[in-house]
Amino acid sequence: MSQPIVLVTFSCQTGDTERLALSAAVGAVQARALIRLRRIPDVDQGSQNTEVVRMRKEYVAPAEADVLGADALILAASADANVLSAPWQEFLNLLLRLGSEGRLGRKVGASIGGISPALAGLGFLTVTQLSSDPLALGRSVAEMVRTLKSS
Amino acid sequence: MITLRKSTERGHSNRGWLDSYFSFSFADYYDPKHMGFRALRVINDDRIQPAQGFGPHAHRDMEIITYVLDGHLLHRDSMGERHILGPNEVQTMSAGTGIVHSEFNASETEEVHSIQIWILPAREDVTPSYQQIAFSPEEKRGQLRLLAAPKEGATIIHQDALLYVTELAPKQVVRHSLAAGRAAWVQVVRGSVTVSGQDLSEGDAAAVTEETEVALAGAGNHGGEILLFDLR
Repeated sequence: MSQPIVLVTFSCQTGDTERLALSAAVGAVQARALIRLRRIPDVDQGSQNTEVVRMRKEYVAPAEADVLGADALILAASADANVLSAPWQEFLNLLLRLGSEGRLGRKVGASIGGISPALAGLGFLTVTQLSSDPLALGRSVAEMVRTLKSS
Repeated sequence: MITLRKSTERGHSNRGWLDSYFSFSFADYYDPKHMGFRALRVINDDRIQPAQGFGPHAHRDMEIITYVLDGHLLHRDSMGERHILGPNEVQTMSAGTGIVHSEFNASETEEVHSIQIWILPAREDVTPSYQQIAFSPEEKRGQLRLLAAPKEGATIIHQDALLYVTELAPKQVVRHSLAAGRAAWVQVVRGSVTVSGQDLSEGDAAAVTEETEVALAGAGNHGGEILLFDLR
C-alpha cells in the first residue's frame, strides 16, 4: 500500500500557526505519511516583517495538483485569521469546486484553529477534529487515511 | 579491492538554484547498481545559489549529516532548532520518528557548496535530535578528524559507522586501518588525492573492501580534502 500523503496548508503572519502546522506535519510523518507543506499567500504582499519574508521564501502557495495528489488535507489558521480574505477564499473556492466535481470524496479533511467552520460542506469523505493537539491530529489523520486505503 | 566511482559517472541534476551530483540513487536519478554502500545511502554534492534552498520537508528514520565546504547554510526545523552551518563544522540530524526542516543558503551573494550524507540507522523510531559541532581547521590537516560516530568525540549517529574528514597537502599521507569485515568509502570533496595508490580527483570516490588498511595521500599541486567512511 502506498504511503498516505498529507497536505498541510496554513496561513501565518507571526510564525505561531506555522509551528502548529509543522507539528501536525511531524505527527503525520510519525504515522509514516508523506507530507506537503503549503502557505496561503499574504494579503499584504509588501509586508517586510522578518518572519513573513522568511515564510514567503520558504513556502509556496497550495495548487490544485497539491490537493488532488493528497489523501488528506489539514488546514491551519489562527483563531482570528480572516478566512474571508482573498487568498483564503481563492483556496477555499478551489476546494469547493473540486468538491462539487466529486474530487474530494475520498480525502480526509481536518483543521486547526479558526478555519474549522470553512471546512464543512466542501465534500471531504471525512471532516474530523480528532484532537486539539496538532501532533496527535496529524498522526490521527495519517492513520485514518491508512485505514481508509486498506479498507 | 578498490572500486572507483568517478565523478563523471555520478547522477546529475541542475534546477538552476541547485546543482547536484549524486553518488547514489536519489530523487529522479535512479541506478539500481548505485543504491548506496553498506549503511551509506546518500552522498549529494550540492551547490546552492544565494538566498535559495530547500523549503520545509520531512525525514524519517535517517541519519542526515551535512558538511559545508564553502558558504553558509541556514537550518530550521520542527524541533525549534535554528542554526547557521559553515566550513569546519558538521551538522547531524537524526530524523528518527519524524522531523521537518528547511535548509537555505544564508547568504544573499555567495554560493554554498555542501555535501549531504544519509546513513541508514541501525534501528527505527529513535527520538529526533540535532547536533552541530565546530572544529579547528588544524584538526583535519594531515590527520583524520572524526565527524560522526556512534560514540562521544563527534556528532553521534545511530549506526556502526564512522565518518572522518582529512585535508592532505601534496604527498602528505594518512593511513586508516580497517577491522575485519569492515569497508571504507572514500569521497574526494576537494582537490586531488591518491587512495592506496589510485589517483582520484574532486568528486571521485573509492569503495574499499577486503583490505586491512586505506592509505590516503595528497596529490597534484594543492593536495585534497577527503571524507572517509568506515562501515560495517
